[in-house]
Amino acid sequence: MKQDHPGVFHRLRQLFMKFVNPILRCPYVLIAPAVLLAITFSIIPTLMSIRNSFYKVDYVFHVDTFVGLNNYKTIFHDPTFLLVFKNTLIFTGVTVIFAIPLAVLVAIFLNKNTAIHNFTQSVVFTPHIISWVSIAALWMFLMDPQFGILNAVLTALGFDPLDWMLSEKTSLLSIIIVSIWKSLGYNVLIVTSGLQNIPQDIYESAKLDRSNWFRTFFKITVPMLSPTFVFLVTTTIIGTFSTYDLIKLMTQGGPRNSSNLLVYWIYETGYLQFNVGKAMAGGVILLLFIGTVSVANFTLMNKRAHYQ
Amino acid sequence: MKKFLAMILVLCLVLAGCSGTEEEAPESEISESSSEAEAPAETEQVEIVFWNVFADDSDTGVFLADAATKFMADNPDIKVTIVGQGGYDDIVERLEAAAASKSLPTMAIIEETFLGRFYPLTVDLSQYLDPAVVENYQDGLMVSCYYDGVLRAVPFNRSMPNLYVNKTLFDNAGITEIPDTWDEVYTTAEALTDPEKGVYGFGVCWDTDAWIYESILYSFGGEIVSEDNKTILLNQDSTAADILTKFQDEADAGVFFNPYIYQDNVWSTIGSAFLDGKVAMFLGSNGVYSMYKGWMADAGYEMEIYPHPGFENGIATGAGNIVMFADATEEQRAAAAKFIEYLATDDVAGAYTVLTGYLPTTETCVNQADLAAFIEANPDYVNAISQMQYAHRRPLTSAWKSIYTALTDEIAYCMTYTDTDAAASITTVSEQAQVLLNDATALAAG
Amino acid sequence: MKRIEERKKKLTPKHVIFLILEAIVILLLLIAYIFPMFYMISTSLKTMREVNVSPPTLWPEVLQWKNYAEAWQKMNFFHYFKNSVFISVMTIVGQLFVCVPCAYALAKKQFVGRKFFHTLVLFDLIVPSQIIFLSIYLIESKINWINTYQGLIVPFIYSAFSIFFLIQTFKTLPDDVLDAAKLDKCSEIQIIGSIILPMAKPTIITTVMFTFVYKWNDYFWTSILTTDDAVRTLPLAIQNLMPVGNAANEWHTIMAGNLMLFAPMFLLYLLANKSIKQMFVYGGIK
Repeated sequence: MKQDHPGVFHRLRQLFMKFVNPILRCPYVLIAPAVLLAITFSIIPTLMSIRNSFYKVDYVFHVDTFVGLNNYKTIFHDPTFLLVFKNTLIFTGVTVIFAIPLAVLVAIFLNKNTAIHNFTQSVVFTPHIISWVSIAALWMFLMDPQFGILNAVLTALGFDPLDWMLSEKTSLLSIIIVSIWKSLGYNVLIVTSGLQNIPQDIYESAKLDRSNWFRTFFKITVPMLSPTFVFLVTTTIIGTFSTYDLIKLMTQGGPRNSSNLLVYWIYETGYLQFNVGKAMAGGVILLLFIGTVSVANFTLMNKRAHYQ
Repeated sequence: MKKFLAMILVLCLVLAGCSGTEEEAPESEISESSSEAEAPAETEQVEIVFWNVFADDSDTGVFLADAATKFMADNPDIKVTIVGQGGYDDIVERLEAAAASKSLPTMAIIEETFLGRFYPLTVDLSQYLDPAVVENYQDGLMVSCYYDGVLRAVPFNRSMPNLYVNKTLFDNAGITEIPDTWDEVYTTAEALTDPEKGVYGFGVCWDTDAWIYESILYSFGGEIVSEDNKTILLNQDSTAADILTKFQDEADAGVFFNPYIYQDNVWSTIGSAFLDGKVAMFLGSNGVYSMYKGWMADAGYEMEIYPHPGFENGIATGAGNIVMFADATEEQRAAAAKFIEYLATDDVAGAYTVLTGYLPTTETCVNQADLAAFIEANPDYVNAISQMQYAHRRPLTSAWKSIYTALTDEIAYCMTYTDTDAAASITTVSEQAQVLLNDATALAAG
Repeated sequence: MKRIEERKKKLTPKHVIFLILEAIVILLLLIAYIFPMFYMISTSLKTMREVNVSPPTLWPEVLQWKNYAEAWQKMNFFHYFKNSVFISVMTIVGQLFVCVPCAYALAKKQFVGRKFFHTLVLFDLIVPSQIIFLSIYLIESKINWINTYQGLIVPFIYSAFSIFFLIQTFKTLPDDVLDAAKLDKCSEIQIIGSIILPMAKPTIITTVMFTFVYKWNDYFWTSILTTDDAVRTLPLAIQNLMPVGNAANEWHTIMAGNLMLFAPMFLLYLLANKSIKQMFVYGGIK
């Protein structure tokens, strides 16, 4: 770095150090691009969305009037919105209740370092890095009531075939299945890493204490995994509340809004029905939910980071 | 690692260079909305942008592009840029975005009912079009071109449902009378149904905006909305529900082919079934007449179209009208008007009908050489033309898209699960629709 | 010694049950995850007729390799592939220029308003993109960035997520090396380039791969911010295979296209298996 460079290059470098470098050294310059982009593409849109939720906005009829809480009143009386909100809560609840214990179960069984175990874990993780487009196309095909393999298997086993995405009774279930299938690998990975962070000596002392498997599991493993659980629960909730791609690609809200979820509803209302104000009211509700969970997640993550 | 990264960067920049031109083209076309002089030309050229709903490489897309080229040859002072915007739904999305960003094109094709949504942005065409041209358009097709008494749209590619008949299957079953009332349709369909051969007498799909259902409803004397577009009339009596119930029953009886029990796209399901000789009659748009006639002939079937059952009570028209947007300058409006008049000339309008089967938009083009020959060769096409005068007004409200989305959802579900209570479905939709209509009325007022 | 043998004997019956359960679980998982892939491959090699039979068959009669050629052509694969590569890479490059300096300043420098800017920059972590998409769409409409490369790249070269992780890692880097460099009259660029980046290499690689996977697979933003094919990426290529108007679902072509769609990601996964998994863990707990 301190070598003597001949002539022009040396002069350029001197000029650089004298004029350009101090600018770069200034922290405000370093953070400027990020801050500008954050304001333009994150802060301003959020403020716009919140603002629009209190207005009636229409670009064709040139309407931009303040309506206060009107949009919120409308959506809470709108049967479609209420149904969509209910669907989202059910979707979240079922996913959390099934996906996380399932992930723990699978993680425990796969927690060995053999070829088969590693291979299985890799295979299970694959859907997580694949685009929703491929997943949706695949599952629409598997779930086709006439030509899909799922119904063929069901009938072969002696069960009645299901209508999957065609029926309003099973469309939400279909979505849940696909969603859990895709996320299992990621959840298993997180639990595995959580398991591996548990110091082995605790297990050793448990064995010395002649503790049986159930006691070990519930008195040691589960408590030690609690940060992992918290993380998984918050991430799952944020994920399920944000689900859009799957709905857009597979059911478009499903027969009679039976598989319509909050984010897709916002898209439908704002983008397809041109009712921006109403859509944003729903958006603010979503923001409150996800925002709260995100903040909780974030604070807890920070705490743990400090803890360690 | 660094070398690898550097290689990737170089690769990207090269690719960027290749794709640079692609990227620029759509931008410049869409953002043009003010008249600019074309540099090399000696005279000032007026640029107009025309958004349409056809794929660039489709028959209709190519036809339009050719028409534009010929027009520009005769009018060197006008530059027409044709931009394909996907389909009827896509173009609505893009027009909404264009309205928000103030980058509307000069003119666009919209599905006729969308005049109810976009009329505040459109131009009074009677100020720019030759009255003789306006007079020449088919009366039936002009029904939904006026909003509040002002002419805001003109027909371009319009269609109506017709009864598509597989003549070969009729002949095989020894049936010579083509049904022209709905009761006759039911009995004829029953006679034609042959479960052993997998043949159904009749089939229909409501289409994505429910216009086929709407048309059937009109033909039974029913209504969707009031004339002032403020009141929903779907549930004023049991007509709407009865139609559904009857179709459900016929589907259960195996007489009507029911595309709604398949996960696949309903239009393609019923289309394929018809082309396979599995459905003897279906009600569909005459805009696919030429295409289907060819395909049926290839498959060895004789196909003809017949009048929509119950047409005297009024039936729906569908597909595209042209509107002009008020953001255009006076020069652009004049230029666009010239192009519209060109598209309405006998040669162009006649050739378009021959190519597709879309209705002849003007009265005089029916006598145009190609079209006259076409009609002579396909005498059943007269059944499409003679229906036009029975066109029923369509709902012209900005809430129509939301309403037909809810309606299509319900009536499709009624056919997927034929034990669904049709009356309850119609009531649900009507209630939702009235709320939406009220919103639209408020929007239009303030 | 005796104790261990005793324990082994005691554990055997339970051990066996556990092993059986383990085997069942592994088998079920393999079926649940490998079978769909297998079925996708077998469908991609069938003819149209073979696909539309009920009950469905497991393996085609004759392998229809031409489905791939058909899918490639219909999908216009190369066009989208090009766009995907360009957009993903430029996003990563952009992030290196925007997020790294920002994280460096926020982690290592003291200045007025540091906490404020820290919060501002990370605010995006709390805001789900699903709310602001409409507003971003309107903003981009107004500045005519719809259907452009910059429209798909620029908003994403700022990533609160990346900045967050970079800050965490940069904070752990020892200050004395940086002080020594400053005394040595190193330029800021040299400090960032030759000292910070190499020391934080694992995080940088993690962030890069994370961004890459995210951008490559992104369907949501690309579908919102584009209305025609000019700059669209691979995930939207599948739409070209889906039926238009009256055409039927051609599952064989769609599956062929699907396989081509995730082949790049799959290859990457095979090559960098451990790092990818590690990156998600890193992104998770720590």
